Amino acid sequence: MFADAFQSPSTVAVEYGRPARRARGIGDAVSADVQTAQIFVLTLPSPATVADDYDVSVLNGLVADVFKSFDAVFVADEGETLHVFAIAADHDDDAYERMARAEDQLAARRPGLMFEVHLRATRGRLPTVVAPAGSRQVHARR
Amino acid sequence: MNAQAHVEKAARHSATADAMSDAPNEWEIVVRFYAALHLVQAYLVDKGLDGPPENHGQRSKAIRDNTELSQGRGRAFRTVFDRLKSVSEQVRYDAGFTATTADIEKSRTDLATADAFIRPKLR
Repeated sequence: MFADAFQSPSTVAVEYGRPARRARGIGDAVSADVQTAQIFVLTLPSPATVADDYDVSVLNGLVADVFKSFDAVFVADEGETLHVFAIAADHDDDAYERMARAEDQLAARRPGLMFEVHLRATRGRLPTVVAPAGSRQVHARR
Repeated sequence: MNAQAHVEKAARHSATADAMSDAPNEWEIVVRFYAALHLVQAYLVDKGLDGPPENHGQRSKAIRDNTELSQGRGRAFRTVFDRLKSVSEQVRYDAGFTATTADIEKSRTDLATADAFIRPKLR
């Protein structure tokens, strides 16, 4: 692919899922005029990565949907386990009943998904303050 | 570990938590959560579950998949177990969270509820 790219200075080389730094060093073996040419290497996500991203996006949407009664929802991956952090005002029975219903729904709609749900009480704080570092928000109640 | 060993471990954790009560301490909640965890393990071992859960995710699934622990009268058990777990996590990991005396007292009644629900079900 890179050999073709060097045929014309205006050629744009495209590789799936490979970092642009792969282009460095190749120029050492080609002629001087080609070395001075501007080579653009676009790095696109591989088809597999696109599929993974799509799956993550669908899962995030599903989690957001089943836990929509909560003020906010964050998720984090740990190995094969998806951690779901449901944010509520406090640790009252109603919040846990909603959590159990949402948990059952998620299990029914995604059989085989290994996940663990945690309830986090804000007690007057912002949901983003209560969410664990590194987690990503998938739902915020308007 | 057999079911009886888990029950005894739960009792020791419960006694440890109660011994901390002279000066209310949010770590009582953490200790009580682990007492409840051993009650769940005792139940699952007693019921002959092939390979009792080894982590919280597996345990949550085992509870969710067990009708007796999660539906009907088990729903109240599930609530108190989930609360002990989540509050104990905030005690440990959420720097801005300080358990109140009401939280500590709730952990005592939640563990008592869990204990009263699980023990009669053990052989």
